[in-house]
Amino acid sequence: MSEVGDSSSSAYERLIGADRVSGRLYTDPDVFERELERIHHRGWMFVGHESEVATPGEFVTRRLGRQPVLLTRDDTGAVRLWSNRCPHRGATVCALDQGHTRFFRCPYHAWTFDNAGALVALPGEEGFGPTFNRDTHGLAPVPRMDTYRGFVFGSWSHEGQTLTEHLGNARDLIDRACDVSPVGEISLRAGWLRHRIGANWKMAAENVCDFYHPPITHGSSGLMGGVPPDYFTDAYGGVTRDLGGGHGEVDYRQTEGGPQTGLGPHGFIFPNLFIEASSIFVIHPVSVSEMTHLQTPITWVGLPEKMQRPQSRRFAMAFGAAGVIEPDDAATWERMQLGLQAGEPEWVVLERGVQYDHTREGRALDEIAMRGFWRHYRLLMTDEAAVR
Amino acid sequence: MSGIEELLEQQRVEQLLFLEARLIDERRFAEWEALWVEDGIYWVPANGDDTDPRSQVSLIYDNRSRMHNRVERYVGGKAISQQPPPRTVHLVSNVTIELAASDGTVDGDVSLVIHSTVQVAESRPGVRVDWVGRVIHHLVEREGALRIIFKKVLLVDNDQELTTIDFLL
Ligand code: FES
Ligand SMILES: [Fe+2]
Repeated sequence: MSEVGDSSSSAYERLIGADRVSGRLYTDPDVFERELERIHHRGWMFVGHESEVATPGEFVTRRLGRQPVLLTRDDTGAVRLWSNRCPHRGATVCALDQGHTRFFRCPYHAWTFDNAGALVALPGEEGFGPTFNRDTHGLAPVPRMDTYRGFVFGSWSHEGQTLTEHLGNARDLIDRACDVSPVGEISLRAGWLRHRIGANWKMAAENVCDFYHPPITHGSSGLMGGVPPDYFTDAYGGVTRDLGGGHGEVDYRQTEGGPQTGLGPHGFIFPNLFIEASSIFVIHPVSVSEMTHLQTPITWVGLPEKMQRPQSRRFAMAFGAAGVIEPDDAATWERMQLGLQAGEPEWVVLERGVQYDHTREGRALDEIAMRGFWRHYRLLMTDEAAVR
Repeated sequence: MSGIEELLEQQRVEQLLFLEARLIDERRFAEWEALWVEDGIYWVPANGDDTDPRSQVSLIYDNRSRMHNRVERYVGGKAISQQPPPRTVHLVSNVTIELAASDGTVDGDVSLVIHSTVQVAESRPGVRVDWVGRVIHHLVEREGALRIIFKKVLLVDNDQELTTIDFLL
């Protein structure tokens, strides 16, 4: 039986309060299974960027939730998203992270698919008899795929909100990330650093809009050197915003020289995409107590090299399993995962700035976007209508 | 080079690599830094061994000032990932002198190109990981001593998901 004791919707209503959530939501394997079913294997999730498969034949493999997928650019130039699973007996048809090919040949019985998913060859086809139909044995597309300004999203559900509806106000984050480029285009071709962290995925999601922690957690990084002492205080300015739909951002555009050192926005697109000024982060859930944090620097098409360079330097120093910023975040989340094994007190506190909740916008250090995350999460975990 | 000279050269190189490993494990970072020349590069590629560090992400691509920044974190007392610091033991082996200026196989500033292998046992609370890789050192003679100008660590799993590396490889 679940630690939650009762997996009904009303149990989740009790576990997720307006300004506090139960620590069990980070530690109970049954909660994790329900999240996969209702969030990661149903709603829209970021999967990659069109620039990663810029030319026909290019492909990358990813996970969408727990399921392996294959993003290709077919010979007509269309971007396609497939289950990375042979329709014959289920082996992955592609074992590489990325590459270029016209054909995917399954290692088991050599069923061979083109980059538009069609079954184009198999050994001993006549043995399957006259009723065998290649057309019904192609690669299975992920039920829904859509893109916004080159950002590719997928959903395992055949129906539900459109991508536009899902993104809602968060489209503005993608717009601002792209519009740093004079031609409005970004490129992600530097490869990904993939950091395995022993903590629940929601800790990374919430942390995006936690500007209460940086001067403490990242006090050692050296990248904080030279910033005014009141940088991460309420007095300094900046706002945090609950964008609805579980999305959120921290925004210092109104504050001259605010602590966002990169060029783009700083925000979270539910449930797995973090646009971090000049980098893209993706949160992969692995188990209730493990995630993988994928990270890559943004290249802005057409932006002068001298504006681009400091950003990629900052990425190189700060991020990945061996950066000077990321390991401290990871260590913090791993400490949370350990601490939350203690069942008392039951609650995790999210009270900072509740007085601003009616406006959905608070001071930069407030926990407003986190509460927005949980409000949406609660809806998905409890409401039957909302998830269909 | 005579046989004896070759043996002595091999010995000298190995002693440097062993010393480097020991300084890291004993957290004698100032002495570790002193093994390097000012224009040194410490590189740990990701997603393969022969990537272009300017256009592709690396796990680590440090010049000397970044190396300094990195070790300052280790001793500064503020980094959460260093509370407590990971304990490491480096096992260095398979040391071969790949190229040497003395036999004309390298030119420019570099005196020796050394290949070796390293296994690093890492321990921190709840975590015990073994890191394994091939290592390439470029060494130069400066003021009569061998010093490191370039170190590239090719982790066997650099194309996989990796846990935190908050220590020197
Ligand atoms: S499982 Fe792929 S060809 Fe048989
Ligand atoms: Fe952080």
